[in-house]
Amino acid sequence: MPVRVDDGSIGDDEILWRRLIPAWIVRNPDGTFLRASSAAFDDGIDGEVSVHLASLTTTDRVLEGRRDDSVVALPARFPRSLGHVVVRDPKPDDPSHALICPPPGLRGKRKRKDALLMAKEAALVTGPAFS
Amino acid sequence: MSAVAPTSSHWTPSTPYVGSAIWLKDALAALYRLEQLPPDWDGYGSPPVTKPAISEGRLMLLRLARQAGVNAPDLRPVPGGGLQLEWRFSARELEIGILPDATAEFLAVFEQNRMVEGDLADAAEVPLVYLWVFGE
Repeated sequence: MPVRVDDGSIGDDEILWRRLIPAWIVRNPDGTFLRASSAAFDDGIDGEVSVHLASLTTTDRVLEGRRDDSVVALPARFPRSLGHVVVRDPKPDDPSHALICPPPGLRGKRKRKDALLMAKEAALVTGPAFS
Repeated sequence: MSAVAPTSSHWTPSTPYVGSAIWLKDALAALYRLEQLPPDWDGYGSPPVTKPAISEGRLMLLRLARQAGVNAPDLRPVPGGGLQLEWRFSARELEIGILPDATAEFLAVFEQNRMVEGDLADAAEVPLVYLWVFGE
């Protein structure tokens, strides 16, 4: 995994959108949305989590072709407060694509804890998770 | 529920038997659905959940189902090829993460958001961790 350097051009107030598949939605006993699962902010390979820079896209574009998915948001400052870095990773079809990357050497258990903290911080923006 | 494994030679530790939790069938079906996820199931390029992770998850479910008082877990795929078992009750939470290579970890959340993390050496430890978190 390459060593990632935090991209200072992404402000702390930049909103990061993460798309949620239905299986990543934690619901209250009455079926309403509670929060995202930590699984949405984890990665079993390198720990890097795909997000979208809200200032460069729209929720409609993020959800294009993924009508069952929803979108949650958290500010870039939050993963940074946990020691993670935020970097741009534009794709040909998605210039807004970015990554939340764990600090070097962060593995396993603390990665899991950080994923849960990010999941609890993320706010639901739109999508069928509201229903 | 008290369950004692039959001694007949055709029974193995992975054989469900009368006395397992009523949620086991649904949980195994949910695990099967995770096993069927195609590449890029998350739209971010994740590989499918690995076979070692599925096998370990199945073993954990069977172990848990034999333990009295264990509730049904939520099963979730994790990007990169792993999966996760989750429970919540009141202020307490338990997550069992199974990595793509089938190694496992837990994260327990107690009152005041106190978190305790650890490794799991064996599927047999999962019911013990569950009872530690929710049995007090």
